[in-house]
Amino acid sequence: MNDELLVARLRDVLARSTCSSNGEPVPADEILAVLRGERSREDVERLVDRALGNAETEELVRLLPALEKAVDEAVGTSARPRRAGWILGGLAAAAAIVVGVVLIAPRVGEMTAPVEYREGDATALRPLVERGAALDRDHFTLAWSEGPEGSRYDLTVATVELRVLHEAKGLEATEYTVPREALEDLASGETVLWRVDVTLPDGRHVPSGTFRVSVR
Amino acid sequence: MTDEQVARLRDGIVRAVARHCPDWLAARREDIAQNALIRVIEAWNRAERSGVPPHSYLVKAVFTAVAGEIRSLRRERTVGLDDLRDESAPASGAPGPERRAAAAQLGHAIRACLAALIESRRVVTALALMGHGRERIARLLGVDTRRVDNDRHRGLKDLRRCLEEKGFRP
Repeated sequence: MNDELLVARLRDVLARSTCSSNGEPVPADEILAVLRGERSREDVERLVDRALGNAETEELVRLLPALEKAVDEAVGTSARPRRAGWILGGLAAAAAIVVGVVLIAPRVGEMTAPVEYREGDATALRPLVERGAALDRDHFTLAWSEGPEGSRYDLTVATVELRVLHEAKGLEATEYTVPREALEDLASGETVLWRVDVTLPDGRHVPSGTFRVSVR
Repeated sequence: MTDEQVARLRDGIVRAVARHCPDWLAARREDIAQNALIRVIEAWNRAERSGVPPHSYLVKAVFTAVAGEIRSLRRERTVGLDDLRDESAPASGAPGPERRAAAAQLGHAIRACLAALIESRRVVTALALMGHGRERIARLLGVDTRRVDNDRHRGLKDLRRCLEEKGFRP
């Protein structure tokens, strides 16, 4: 077996087998910086050694080239942003994406890099409703972990096409029952996405991940 | 970025997760891609306003979004329960328990053997096995590609010998 075949075979085995997870994973932004050549050779060596002993770190080191390829195939290496690109589609699918842009518009300009969630970060919210849970539309209560004292929460509920179903802003409680009328159009079993943006006591805004449940 | 490009990006994320993540994560690839794409759309919209170079920014957005989803799923995962579920109900097309056990043993051996290689060979060989090309490895280590090829060849040779000593014939 030549080197290329051996690499391909062993790469496949590594992907299909999980290594042990000793210690904390290396944060994604640090992995990216190292693999983009923004760190020293010693940092590269450290990252490789961590990857061999931590499953999540290894997965991310392995995923980066595959995701770069996905981006290349999707938009090409010379992509340039088109200011109105999302809005000019004209198709039904594009309309859904436009709603997605509206959904996020209030946060435009507030940050210039994707938010990174770190393990143990007190501001990283966790859902307290099981992912994928089927919630009765008459008692559609969403709950999340508490932020620092004095935090306020903005909840957005949307369909998978990013059509906003309901928003509730400035909440002090860490749970909220979505009004039944907001969910009336949905078929039983339909997926609903939700997210919570926290306004911290110092005024910073921290978006949560996006979570999903279904309605019944 | 058109809706067609968004659809291609989504498919690309699904394929990447399916190919490069363990079965329990690969089984959630649709969720991971869907949720990551929402974050990516948000990041892309910000990039349009801030003038950040879009390709590198988009890569960063996709990578951090997928990483966030994977981290979130890992936090949620109850190891014992999911392991039982993996054994009793493998995803469609996934290898059976025996093949997965064999792959796990070989995977463990590969990592142990990699960790035992001398440093220059270890880094080059591990990065190659994690899908990184020779040009990138050369750039990261500040060496030329011939040196990478040489270290990779010797590293693979050492790795093969180590695996054979452990009873594996890769």
